[in-house]
Amino acid sequence: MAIEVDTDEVLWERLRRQEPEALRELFGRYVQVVHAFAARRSGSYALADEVVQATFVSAWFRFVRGDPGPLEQATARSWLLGIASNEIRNLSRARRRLTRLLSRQPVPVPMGDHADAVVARVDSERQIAEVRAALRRLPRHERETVELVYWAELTVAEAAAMLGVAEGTVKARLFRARQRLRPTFQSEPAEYEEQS
Amino acid sequence: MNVTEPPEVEELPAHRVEELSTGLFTLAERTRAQRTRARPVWVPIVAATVGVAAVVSAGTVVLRSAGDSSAPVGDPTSDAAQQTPRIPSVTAQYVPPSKKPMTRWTAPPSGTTTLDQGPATEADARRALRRCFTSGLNGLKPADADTAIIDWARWMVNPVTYSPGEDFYDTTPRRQLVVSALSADRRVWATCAEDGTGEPGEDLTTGDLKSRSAGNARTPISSGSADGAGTTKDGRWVLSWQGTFTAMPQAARVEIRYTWPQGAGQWHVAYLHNHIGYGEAVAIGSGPKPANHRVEFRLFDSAGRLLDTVNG
Repeated sequence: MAIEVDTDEVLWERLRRQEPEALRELFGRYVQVVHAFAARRSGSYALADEVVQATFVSAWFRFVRGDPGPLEQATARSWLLGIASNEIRNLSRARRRLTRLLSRQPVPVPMGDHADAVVARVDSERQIAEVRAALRRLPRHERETVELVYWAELTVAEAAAMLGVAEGTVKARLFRARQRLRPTFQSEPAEYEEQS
Repeated sequence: MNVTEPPEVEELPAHRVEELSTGLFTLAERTRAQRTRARPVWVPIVAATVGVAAVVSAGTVVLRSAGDSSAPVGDPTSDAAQQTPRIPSVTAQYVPPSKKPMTRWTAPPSGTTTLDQGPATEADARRALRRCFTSGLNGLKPADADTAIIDWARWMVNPVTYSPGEDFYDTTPRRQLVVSALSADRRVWATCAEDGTGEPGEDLTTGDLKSRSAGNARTPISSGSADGAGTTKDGRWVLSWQGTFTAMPQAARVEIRYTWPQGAGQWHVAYLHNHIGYGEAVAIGSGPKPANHRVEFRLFDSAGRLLDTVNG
């Protein structure tokens, strides 16, 4: 039997009515998306963890403080990633503050031997850092566009809305980014196909 | 390397997802409940030139001048609506409709003392925050005090006060202003205390939203507490604890006292609002100072039933 799941639009309307359960569902649906986005953009799992928390808290308070109106895109993904972008910026800027804050937190409950997981994360962070080093050859606006479309898998329309530019601008940025990065590619990248 | 391929990332572990989800849901439940209890009623801009106190069906709204900050803050029991009418302006302060006390007790049971001395004004609360924020706690600056969201600000009685430099406890009760506040970005919360004489503020507890909602675990937050032991000028021993804690949501009243193997001090009623509380416990006696003393909390629900007893 198929389980009926609310669309993002229905979920959004429930959030406008400030239903905590809707926030939990939104979280369950997008937590890994936001986490992956934050980890790739920041290159730090520790920061990504904080960003996830801050993003959903911020999202909730946008509904509590006022009505953000109807959902403008087909999904809430780009809206959440927009908030996550801001949180990454804020948290990165406040890294020193965070360090102090974390030092005040209670000692975490022991979770058993997780050395392998730590090693895997360190390796992963190193790989992300290498890819990001290549991306740094791009101007910031192109870099952001690549991250949103190729890495976070937003549609061109969603990325355009999030960046506040025309869809054509997004396509042009992707094209220029590919041109600039061409020597970096080991193989010729496939042409970008617009996602529906 | 193809940068159009997203780098592989590890997923957020399931236990962490569950932890964050629970914390978020708790926060959402609480903030929604707050709105239900105290939904602000904003008065549209009025061009009137005389002060009015407008009574609307959902509550009472007091019109205030922009610079006026003398009304009590964070105090659902305050009677600000009956204050002298003020010059109206475009700003309005919401005063919740309920005049009932936070708990249904009108007098503490015998053997307990109440620390709470009533609400402080917003001006006093922000002054205390500014003094606290100079210590740079969690990156907060004095200017952040002006935009902080104040949960509550109350005058409390210090049963005893330590006199640094003189090395004894003064048993003359003193008033102290205690403020619980959230930074404007809702990322940092702080509880600050300021001596009624205007001494610099004290950062009792700070943390993020995670620690703020930790009351579900019923464990008092003691990181910002002060647990002291010493003597009075006349040679009696003193045990003194003061601090901030969070309590489980169903707790409506919290009492704190010292215990030791041979006895216990009297219960002190803590101030509790939105499950964030401040309390003090003091025990004074003669003879040998008790060893192995500890602070004990007991929590009651709104019907007065004992929920739990916790050792701090």
